[in-house]
Amino acid sequence: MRHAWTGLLLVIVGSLTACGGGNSSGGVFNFGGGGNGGSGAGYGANTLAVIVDGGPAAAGGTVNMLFTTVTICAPHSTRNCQTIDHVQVDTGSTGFRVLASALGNGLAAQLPQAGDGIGNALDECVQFADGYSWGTVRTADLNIGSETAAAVPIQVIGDAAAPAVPASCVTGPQENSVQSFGANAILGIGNFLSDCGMACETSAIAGTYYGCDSSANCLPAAIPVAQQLQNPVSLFAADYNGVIISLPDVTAPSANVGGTLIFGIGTQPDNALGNARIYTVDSNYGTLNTLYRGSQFGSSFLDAGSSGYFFTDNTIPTCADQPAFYCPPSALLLNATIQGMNGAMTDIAFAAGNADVDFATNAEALPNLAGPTASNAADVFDWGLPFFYGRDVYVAFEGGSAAGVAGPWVGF
Amino acid sequence: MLTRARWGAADAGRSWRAAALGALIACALAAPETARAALGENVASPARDHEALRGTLAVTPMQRYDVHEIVTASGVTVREYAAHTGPVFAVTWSGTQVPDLKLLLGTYFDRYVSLAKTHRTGHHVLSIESPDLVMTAVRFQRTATGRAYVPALLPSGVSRGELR
Repeated sequence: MRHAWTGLLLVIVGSLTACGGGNSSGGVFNFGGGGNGGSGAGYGANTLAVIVDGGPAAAGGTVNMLFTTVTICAPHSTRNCQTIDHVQVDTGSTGFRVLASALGNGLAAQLPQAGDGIGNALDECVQFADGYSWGTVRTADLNIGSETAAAVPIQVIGDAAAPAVPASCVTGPQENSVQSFGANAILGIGNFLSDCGMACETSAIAGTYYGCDSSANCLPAAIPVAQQLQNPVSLFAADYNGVIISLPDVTAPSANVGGTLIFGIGTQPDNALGNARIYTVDSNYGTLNTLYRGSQFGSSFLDAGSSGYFFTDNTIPTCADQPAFYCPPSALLLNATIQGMNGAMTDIAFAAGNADVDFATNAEALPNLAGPTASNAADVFDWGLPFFYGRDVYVAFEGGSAAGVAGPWVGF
Repeated sequence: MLTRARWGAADAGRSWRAAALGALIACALAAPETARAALGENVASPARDHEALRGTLAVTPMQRYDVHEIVTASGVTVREYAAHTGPVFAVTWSGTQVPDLKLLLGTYFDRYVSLAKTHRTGHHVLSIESPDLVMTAVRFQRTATGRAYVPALLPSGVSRGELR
């Protein structure tokens, strides 16, 4: 599939680069039909250009982060819209979140804020490994390529309309700015249909959803699954059972690596399973297994949102100046086996390079970037974006089936 | 669920530079009695934490330490490792949600926040390795696991691989 698209890809990437560089910019603009951000005329209707570049200027330079462009509109509006560039494409989370500072003036106020069902405004805390973000939950239409997710709950991070952060949300550094978040927005298209799921419907859980009253008192609130942040692709009218991330092979540190995000699996001529194999993931956690050097890493995952391969191997030296990455004297050729919950297994050859050398190139796509899990978290093997280079990686959603196999699963 | 061998497997025991600053230990042990967090504090803190987390508490005595295991109301398993006659030297967590890290990390929370700010690994995995705090946090889809320990407080003979 990749070869057939290559020519077109170059065109798309070229145009993306040409109009990139700027900020998400501007205010609300009139959006009338036709193509929109990131999707070129004649390009498959279920595809969207993606790119690994340096990220939004305000973020100060990102590596191995995958971005695309999404147009946000007020519900049912084709006029009150804004196109946001440098939206991070993330298979490690679910839901669309945009930084208020990237949204520009005017539009946020036209996105109705959701409620908690008992008369309070709905706000959300999202807790990542590296920090938390806090903001309102609002309803918007998302135009993603030529497809639309209508009336979807999204999070507006750092929204001035949200009260002060509740203490129970604070589990690390705050990431409420483009600089600290590293993107203008994030498009979470992991295996799950909602970000929290039944756990947040049956209980009010601190660090997730909050109902905030008119006195700005916020308390954790139980929120039905359908009103939580949703996987936008799952709300499309077609091609909603999963996604494919298709990136070209990257053999050396490179700038501006373009690829394709394809919607649907087995629903169009361009998204067949082909020779890819299916690895089912744990339906509660989204994880699978990795076997590496005789050890089993039971909480492993493929994650387009991680910048490298992250796993513990105490024989590989970490970098003196940045212990979150490995710095072997020269790149190490390694092997590991990915194993789905269904037992499907495939050996993977990969390389762990010297991160100091890689970072010194100032390139944004580093195919050999790897690092430890510092506390010897020997159950975690994170197959980050370097794994995606040179592959078509399939992510099938829960609650449905793709290529004849019930989700959630990943394929490659 | 198939095998989730948490925090298991090979600990080749990377040599720990003895950055055991006496001042650090003194500081950690001197944490105020009113603090509600665990790491670096005395063995009374797991009991406080289990109340604050509204969870169940079970204590398993080991040869060199006690494991205080709290299962929170939202199903997160928190383990606090406390020396028999000393402070909590490690905490681990595993579940679908992130537990109250401010509570669990105590006086080390601010250190974690400042060290976490410069990372370049993405939103889903965080590794901190400093002389006074070693920590990993993973947040992927509906997985939340992590552990943190204070190298200077690890009882002698205890390897990192034991902390699960």
